[in-house]
Amino acid sequence: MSDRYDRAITVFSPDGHLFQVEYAQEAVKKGSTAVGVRGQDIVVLGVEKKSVAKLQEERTVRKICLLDDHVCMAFAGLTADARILINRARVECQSHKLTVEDPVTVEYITRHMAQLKQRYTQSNGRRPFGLSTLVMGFDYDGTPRLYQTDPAGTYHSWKANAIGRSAKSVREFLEEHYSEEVSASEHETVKLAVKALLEVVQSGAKNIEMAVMKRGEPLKMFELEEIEKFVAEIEKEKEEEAEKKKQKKAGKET
Amino acid sequence: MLCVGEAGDTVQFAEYIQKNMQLYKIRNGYELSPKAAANFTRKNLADFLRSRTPYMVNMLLAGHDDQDGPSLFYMDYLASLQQVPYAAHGYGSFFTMSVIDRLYKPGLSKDEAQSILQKCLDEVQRRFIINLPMFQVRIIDKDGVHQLPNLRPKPAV
Repeated sequence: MSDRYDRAITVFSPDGHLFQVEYAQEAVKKGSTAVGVRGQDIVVLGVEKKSVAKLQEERTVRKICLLDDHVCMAFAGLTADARILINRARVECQSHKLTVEDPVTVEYITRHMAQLKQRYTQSNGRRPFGLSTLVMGFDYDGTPRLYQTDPAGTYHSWKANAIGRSAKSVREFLEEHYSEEVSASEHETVKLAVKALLEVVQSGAKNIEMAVMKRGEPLKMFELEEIEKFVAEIEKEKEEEAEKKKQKKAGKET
Repeated sequence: MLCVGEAGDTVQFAEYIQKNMQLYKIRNGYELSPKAAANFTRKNLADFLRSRTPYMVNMLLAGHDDQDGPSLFYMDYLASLQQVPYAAHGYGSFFTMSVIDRLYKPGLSKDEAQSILQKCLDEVQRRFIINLPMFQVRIIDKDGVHQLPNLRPKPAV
């Protein structure tokens, strides 16, 4: 019965679902993980880099893209769909500057992308975009922002979020470890993002891509060495934690 | 980019080109070279020329490239484009072009170029019927665009 309602996305199923949109969300869950953390003076995006085949050039398949000088985004899901969305967003950023003389706010460009995605869930003959995005940046007044969109066309503001594979467990990790003092320190904010990604990326620094944006500064992509430094710091902390637990246990037993 | 001509067209066209060049930079990660930018501008001007909404603008496009060094492009409202060592637009050009023709030689220094500019403005003040008392000056080099102090031509005797 339900496969009659699967075909056309503009039609509801008997129990109130738009199945095509939900299937698009499944496609997102298959994409590689992306994590975003919003600090007080810094915003961080981290993505899991899928390892390339042996014969493939390691020309970094950029999953973190600049939309304008002060806004950038990462996505999880269909890369080809992302290209279209990113292109439209980039044009809209410049178009906005042309008509209004002001750079876009992060909320505006997120809303624009969300509206575009929603339009594709209500048009005949078109399928929804199979991706969720994390849009981050600084507004004109200096406020840092992090937004998430999904294939249905909804968008929300987040302090920290993850999308893609194992997003739920990464989000729970972020909920546990995010705090006001973490967001106050730039170093801690970046470390939280790396830690969260390491939960899903087993192989370490070489499969992680990170980018940060500080107020008034352009986007900075991290080199492998910088990411490795953070990973080393996190590993050391984990070892110290384990040592302390062992000693406490030994102390209790004696 | 120096844009003169019809009142609203100048700003509209110039800003449109400006934003498209920024879009190119965001899309591709590097800026358009001056030659590419000039040709892009010319193509847009040419396309608009035979539409219902032509832009009545004359332009001078100047840029610096690491590969080609500094370059100057002359463009007029009929979308003709030419790379030139020196150029001028408007009625004043009738006077100034002959001044530069006489004084220009390749490989001028920054100060020599500025003194030629001053001589041009003096000539315009002496010969041209309209009084143009102040000029805005910008210089483009490998470090970008810089604003120089406004130039006043010598009062004509």
